[in-house]
Amino acid sequence: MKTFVPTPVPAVLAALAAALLAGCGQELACPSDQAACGGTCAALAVDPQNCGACGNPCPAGETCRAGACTDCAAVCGAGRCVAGACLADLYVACFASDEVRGVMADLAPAGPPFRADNGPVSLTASGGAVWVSHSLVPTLLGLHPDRSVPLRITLGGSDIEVVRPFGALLAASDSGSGTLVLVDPVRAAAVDEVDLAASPGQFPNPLAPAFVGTTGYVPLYGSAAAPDYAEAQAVAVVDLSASATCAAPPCGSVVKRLSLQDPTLPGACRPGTCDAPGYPFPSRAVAVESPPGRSRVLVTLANLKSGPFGYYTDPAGHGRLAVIDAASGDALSTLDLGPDCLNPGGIAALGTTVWVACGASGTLLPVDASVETPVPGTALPLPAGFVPGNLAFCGAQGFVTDQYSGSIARFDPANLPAVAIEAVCPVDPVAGWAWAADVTCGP
Amino acid sequence: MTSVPLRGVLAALALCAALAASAEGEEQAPIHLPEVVVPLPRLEVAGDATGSATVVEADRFQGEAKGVAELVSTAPGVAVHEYGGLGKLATVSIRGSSADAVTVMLDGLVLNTAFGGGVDLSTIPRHWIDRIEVVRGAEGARYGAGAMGGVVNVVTRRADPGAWSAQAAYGSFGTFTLSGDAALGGDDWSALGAASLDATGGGFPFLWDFTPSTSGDPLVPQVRQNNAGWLGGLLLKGDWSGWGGRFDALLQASAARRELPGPPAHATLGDGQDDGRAVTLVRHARRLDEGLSLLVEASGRLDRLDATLEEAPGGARQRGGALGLRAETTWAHGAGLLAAGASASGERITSESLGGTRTRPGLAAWIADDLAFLGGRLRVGPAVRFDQVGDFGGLSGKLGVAARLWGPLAARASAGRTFRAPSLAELFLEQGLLQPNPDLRPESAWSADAALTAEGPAGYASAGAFASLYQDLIVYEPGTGNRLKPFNDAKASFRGVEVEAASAPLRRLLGLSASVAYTWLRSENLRGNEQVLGKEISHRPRHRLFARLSIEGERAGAHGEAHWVSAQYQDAQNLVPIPEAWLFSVGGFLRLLRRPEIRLAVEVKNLLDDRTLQDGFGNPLPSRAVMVTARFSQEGSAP
Repeated sequence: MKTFVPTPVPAVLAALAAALLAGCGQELACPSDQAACGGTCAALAVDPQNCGACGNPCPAGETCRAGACTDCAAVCGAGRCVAGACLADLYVACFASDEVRGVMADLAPAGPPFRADNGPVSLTASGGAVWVSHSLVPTLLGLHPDRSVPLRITLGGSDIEVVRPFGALLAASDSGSGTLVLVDPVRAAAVDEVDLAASPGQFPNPLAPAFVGTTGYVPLYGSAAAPDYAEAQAVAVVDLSASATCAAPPCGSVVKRLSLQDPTLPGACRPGTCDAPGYPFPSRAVAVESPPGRSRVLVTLANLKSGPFGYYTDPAGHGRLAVIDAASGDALSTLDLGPDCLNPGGIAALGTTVWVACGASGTLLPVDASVETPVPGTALPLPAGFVPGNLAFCGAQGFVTDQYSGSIARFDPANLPAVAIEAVCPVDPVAGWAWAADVTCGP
Repeated sequence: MTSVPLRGVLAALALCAALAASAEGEEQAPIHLPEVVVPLPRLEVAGDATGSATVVEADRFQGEAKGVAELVSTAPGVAVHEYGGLGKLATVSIRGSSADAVTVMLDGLVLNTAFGGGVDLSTIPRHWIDRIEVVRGAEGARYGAGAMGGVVNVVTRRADPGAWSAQAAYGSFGTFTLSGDAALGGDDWSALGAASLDATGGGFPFLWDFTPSTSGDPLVPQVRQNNAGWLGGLLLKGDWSGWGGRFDALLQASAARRELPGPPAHATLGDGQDDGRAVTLVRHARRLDEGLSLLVEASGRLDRLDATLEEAPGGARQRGGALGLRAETTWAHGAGLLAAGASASGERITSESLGGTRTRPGLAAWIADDLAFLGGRLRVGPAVRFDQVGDFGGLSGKLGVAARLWGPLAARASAGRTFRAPSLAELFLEQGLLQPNPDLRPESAWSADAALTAEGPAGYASAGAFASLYQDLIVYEPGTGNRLKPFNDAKASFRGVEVEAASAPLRRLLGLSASVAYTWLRSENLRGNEQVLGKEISHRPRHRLFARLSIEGERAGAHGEAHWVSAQYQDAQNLVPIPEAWLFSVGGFLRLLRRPEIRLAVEVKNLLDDRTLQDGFGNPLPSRAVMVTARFSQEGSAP
């Protein structure tokens, strides 16, 4: 006989679901210098909408400083107030907290942080916006200094390690896919893409390019893996003359590959680019015009050997610069940066002086590029523990990121050796670390 | 159905079960009593009538070229991540969990190692599988700490004296298989021996976009390089009834060599790995008194992995081993069947990347009941277990209810809580881009589910809902120096619906049968900044569907299958979608001889030859593949 059995199943389920969902509250994790205000994080010290406390807006014409509303013009300067915040002099990519922070020349906050996507890693100013590329998601984000709605452009690859201006376009190094992507910010789309691999499957790992006219010079870092080094580590010379009007990509192409491999000894680096058993690892390029009409591209060569974790992290010798003479058929020469510059990476030009950030030696090295053979100057030591990363010069002042914290160092090339350091990027609330990944001047 | 007094049922159950232990083969057909079905040694799934479980019978796919991962993926609630297909790394996720949160067992012996990272299903030889039991939910109280998402138990074929089989297959990309097994036995013993070899050249064609940011440019034809591999396996198992009880022994060993091709844009043509595993166990079950039985078990496992990695000069070399002792008593008391037990284990792993040799002891004690009321129509299953895993200890609990409602209809519901201790890799691994974090805490999970089921001559159907909450999840985050470090950084919830149905063969329609498994999964990130809070967890598609239609006659049969995975996100902010994917397969067989059976089968996977398929992590999946199989087999003498 079939009988119906009264069952506690529905009641048990309801009770369990209620108990389960009761513990399902979202936990907003705010950076160390912010507080949760409703569903958002607010920097109470500088947020004009939540000044000193959640839901405490500053009146028009005032900005928020140290948690108190104060006259905006007095803080920011006449004509430099926007939406209750200052127009920033420079911008810093805060990787751990997924933010970009605008700061004044004295490194004081210009206002509340800008939200970025996952892992902001590179910045550049172009077309009145600050463009952000991300390492953990293939997007470019255009931030407007007036704090209007940002523009997001989603690319198809992964790990967009560097973004740079290229005329009216943006040039993005897609390190995951091994391509240089040319993006039109007006159309919010990629218009051209150049495959930088020497052969399918090779991992070129492009980093920070420099441009001379419509020619791009893209450092190819390669993978930290033999036997790819010799083949992959190079500077790709890319013809981008048709990219701006490209209708059917690819329009750009690699016209030359300045290999850092020794042509007479496969598997070894070209003499002058590294010290065995190291490899060059070219990472960042800058173009310098001196004298007028003669452009050269300088590329930092890290010169690294395998470290304790099985990756190429340790200096194999002095840092180097690859010097490419664009006016002489891209002739390649090298420069030894000396014992005070180990593992160089970041590079920026101030006039005809190129400054190199030497990570392993904790120094900044000026190189006079106005002469036929560039000449290294006297290294500027940074405070102990500061590992210089990326550089920017805004006005006459230099700014450099710390690879191991959220700090920025400020220096005046005309007033050395004074260096001021300020923590700009906040500590991630869980991981307990901060990283100022890049710095750029305001548009 | 005749009503039987509960007390009488349980007493008879315990008595018969104990007798069965001394008379029948391990995991043979269970003893069917009027209200309760319990074999001895207990089947892992049958040990909890209130659990959410699916049993995938390998016989249903006989002669088909399906690995463990493909069989598992036919169950609802399950997502198999295949990193490149064709014998490559394949891990399983249940109800949105990580691979680490699924306990994978072989005949009840846990294969997860203290090193962590989940179990690679492709390392389990497929030819001698009897069935795969998939249990969903926080099952730590029944299966031990770590089973936060659920359990996959691969059950090998029983020794059926007189039975034997031999199989050879060849197909696309230089893929071939050889396997054979035979069973012997006498009045009070039986034994099974089996061996297999699977190999592939792995060079399948695919289409790749080397400039993914621009649209309209043509895809580039490629052939997968450095993708070959082979897997060899050996199984020996036997049982003997004597000395007042029953002894079971099992030895399973496997060894593999596989090339590791890397993503197409970053080929790793010199990478590869050799791995191997051997597991052994000895079980003894005996009746102690009326209603009281005892099971003791000793087990051991050896693991080996040598990897050549271009990215890590010197490669990786791991050696591991584990020993375990377990004892469990089962007592048929007045209201139900009570099981209580304890276990002790030790695991040792040697790896330079772990800083040398690491050992981790484990202790556990548990008690679980299977209470029956209303003549067995209502079952209640409480269970609690304490696990000490190295320095980490904690309680797991579960309460389940099952009821037969009316006719073929039944209902079940359960809720549980468990935890997972950090793996040795998460605590100590220092390799390449990875940093350790010795300050990690255990993860924990709560889950609840309920389902309605119907089972009758026409088939089986089940529809249910579930919810899970994970806290203190360990995830790798970018750390200092551009390296990745694990943190107890995440909290997530998963809720969804699982539906499965299978019809019995319709003899009038050429033995037509159909089955379907559907999962709806809604994940939610419950901890993080504004950009990720409330977003879906990456690589967790909302919909999965498996459907199969087959006809099977005396002489021939055919089947067709469809897998659908809906769009999912590849990032935490849900900015970058991965499009949906369909995969179709068909196959058929001819039975040339009935006894011994000679069967010729053909199977076509990726029928539409979609060469753009990817696994969600940037690895191409195989194009259309055809396998032809010849199978010779003879059934044994067991009923």
